[in-house]
Amino acid sequence: MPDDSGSVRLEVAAAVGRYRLALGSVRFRGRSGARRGRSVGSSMEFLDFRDYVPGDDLRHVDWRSYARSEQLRVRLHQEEVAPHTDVLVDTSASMATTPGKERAARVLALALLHWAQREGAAARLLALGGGRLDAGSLSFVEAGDRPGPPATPLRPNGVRVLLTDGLWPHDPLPLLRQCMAGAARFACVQLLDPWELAPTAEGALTLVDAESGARCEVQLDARAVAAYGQRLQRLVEALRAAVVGEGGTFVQVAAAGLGEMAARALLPAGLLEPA
Amino acid sequence: MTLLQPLGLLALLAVPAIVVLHLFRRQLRQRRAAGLFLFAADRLIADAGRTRTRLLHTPSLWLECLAATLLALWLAGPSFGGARARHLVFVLDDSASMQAGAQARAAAAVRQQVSALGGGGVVTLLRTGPRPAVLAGPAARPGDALAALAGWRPVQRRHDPGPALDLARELAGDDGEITFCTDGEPVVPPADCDVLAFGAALPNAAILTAQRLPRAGGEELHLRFGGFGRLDAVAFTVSSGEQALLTRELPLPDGFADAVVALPPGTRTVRVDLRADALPIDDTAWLLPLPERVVAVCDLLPAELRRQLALDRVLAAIPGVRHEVDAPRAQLLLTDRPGALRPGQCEVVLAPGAPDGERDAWRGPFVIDRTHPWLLGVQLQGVVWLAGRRELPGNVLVAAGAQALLSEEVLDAGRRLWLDLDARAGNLVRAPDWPVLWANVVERARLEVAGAEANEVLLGEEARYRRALLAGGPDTEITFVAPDGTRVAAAPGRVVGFVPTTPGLHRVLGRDGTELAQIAARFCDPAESDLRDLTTGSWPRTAPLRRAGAAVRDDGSERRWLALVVLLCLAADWWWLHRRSP
Repeated sequence: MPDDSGSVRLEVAAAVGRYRLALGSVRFRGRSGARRGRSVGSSMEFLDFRDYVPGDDLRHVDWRSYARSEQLRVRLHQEEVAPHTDVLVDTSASMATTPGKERAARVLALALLHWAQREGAAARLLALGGGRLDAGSLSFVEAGDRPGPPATPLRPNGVRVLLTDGLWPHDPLPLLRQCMAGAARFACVQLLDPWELAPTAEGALTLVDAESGARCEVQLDARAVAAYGQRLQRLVEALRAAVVGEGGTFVQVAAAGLGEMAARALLPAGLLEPA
Repeated sequence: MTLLQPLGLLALLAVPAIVVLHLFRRQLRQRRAAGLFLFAADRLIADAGRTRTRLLHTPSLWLECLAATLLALWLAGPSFGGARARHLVFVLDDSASMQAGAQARAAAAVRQQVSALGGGGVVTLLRTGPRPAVLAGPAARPGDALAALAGWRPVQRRHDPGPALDLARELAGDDGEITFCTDGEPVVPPADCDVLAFGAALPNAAILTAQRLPRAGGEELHLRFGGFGRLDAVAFTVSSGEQALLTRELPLPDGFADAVVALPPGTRTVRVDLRADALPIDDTAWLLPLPERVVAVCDLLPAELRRQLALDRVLAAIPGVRHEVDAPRAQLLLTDRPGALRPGQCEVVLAPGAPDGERDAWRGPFVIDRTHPWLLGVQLQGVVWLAGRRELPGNVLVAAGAQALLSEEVLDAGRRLWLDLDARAGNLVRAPDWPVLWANVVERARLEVAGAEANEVLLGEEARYRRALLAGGPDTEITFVAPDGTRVAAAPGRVVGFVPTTPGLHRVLGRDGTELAQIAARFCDPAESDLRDLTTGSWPRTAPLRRAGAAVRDDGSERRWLALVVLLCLAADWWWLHRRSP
């Protein structure tokens, strides 16, 4: 793995301030923050009234209501939280088939982490089928032929973003359901290399699987490229249907610089919004 | 376009070989990829084992096929028409007189012209002789021609250069330039050739005759020397091995001198040397001891018949005859009934018919085939020939009336002499013709004795060796070894021969390297030894070259371009094969 962590951090720092995660009106759980929580809090936004019970803070007694009805009632306000954010990263070797794809994966993971932290949330990087990850030493070396959910329990009512290339030969729905269970908001970011999206007809090749090392000799002509494109389209559509069907957000990203990926894919898909 | 070398057609076989290699063994550019299952439908080979797959139209395949095709074209020596490269054809006079200085000067002149030929030019070197030979070429590269020129040694007797010039004209075609290098003024200079003479008139002495003859009590050497030019005397030395037997100087009153030298008994090889002069090749002669060729006679006749024929007395009077009990080893067989013969054997069959059969006494006249070697000197004057009444097979040699008395039957493996003679009566056995007949038969059989047919030959003549053809004999494999060490294996056959081109003692080696015979070869040609008419000069051609225009083009340009393209193809192929996925 090339030691480009410094340049990755600079690229993330340059772009992360222009956007923030678009979380919508969903109620989250988390520590105190700027997002509406699922329970009563101390924000300025009124939520409801209830009868006074001893022990309630007298500052929340609605004295105007007492003047009208001589009954002590207290005002309840909306809780404001910073949602828990778990960034689930597919650390299989297929995420690093090219240097560009690997760098884009590292940039995206770090940027998602920073966007979550800017919300004041407790953000974590978790590996599919593994535990917590260190953002500074992200590597993509796992076999990844049949990934599972993170070994670390996921926090409920939080934000979960899955970063993967989604090139699995099997049905992705069981894994997605496990990753989405209990989440207030879920997004799946499919990261693909430009060559994976549109390979060039460059003749005979020996393709070496990044994960298993298996070899496959192909004659990559226009016919084969077209056939591959159809099979990839079916695979992406199946993944998109599984994500959207479970209420999540699906976005496909071609590996590029962070600014280009954010502007051309993440922002139009609603995963980000201007800061 | 023409293809000058058929080797190029063979080289074309490389193209299908490359295709086969690409069918079974490929080395493709590699690329790391994810989602390999998305390409599974387009994969080329099965997972298990290497097997033949459909041919990939890779740049490597096309580049290698193109390189092989161009290489085949390069080997074929293509010519794309137009003006041809310059073609020099040199006809070298191979007569021995060229050794008197003209050879070196001619070789230097040829080297100079070849060196100035420039790139793309080709050279053909021919040697004159009764049978002209190609020393280099046709259309050889200058380097090869110069290498062949270095090995040129003119040793031949006087001959006509016409056949070599005719061959040169054929090989030169329409645009070749023929140059005839000789040492004297041509009688009629050829119109289409440049003639260059490099000779110089010089006095010279030569051994004209050298014979070793038996005499009572030993041998004698009979020598005859010739002097050409202003020579008053000739000095010569006779030696045997390291021992000088005689050194003498003889006057040359009429240009010739004779000498007779007595050789001590038991003298082996004798060498005669003249004092060094302009032409050394005619100054030395080797004379070997006279070969002993003994005819082996196998007598299978009944004792009574032998006594009646007086054969013991007759054969004892003929020199060089021995009795042999093993019939396959004999050259002459005497019998009263025919048997199987080996190649070269002669069988004399005394067959008058049944002992109690009818007999006729013939008094002549006899019809005799006097041209037959067996009947040379046979007269049959006053002979009464008692013969049986029977027919003889073969060609009739002696007949009386309608009765054949002596005939020759030529077989695949020898000859058979049929003799219808009853020796109990008649006077043929006591007539003078009887020993003459047998002497002729024995001498004829002597030719079939194994060994060298002649132990002295002149350069240009064929030296022959006759095999015994006995199974496991030493002469089943024969090698001729020249004085300079050159070895030539003899062809199969009963009589094998070679033409010596080097003066000196040639050896005939058998299987296991045993020496079977020695043959002395010397040069003798008074016409070549006479150097008085040699001269230096040049006689340019009078007829113009037949090709159009005088411009010549570098004939190797096509080959150089082809070689460059082949190298580019190979480099591109190497680059393609070693390119890896990004």
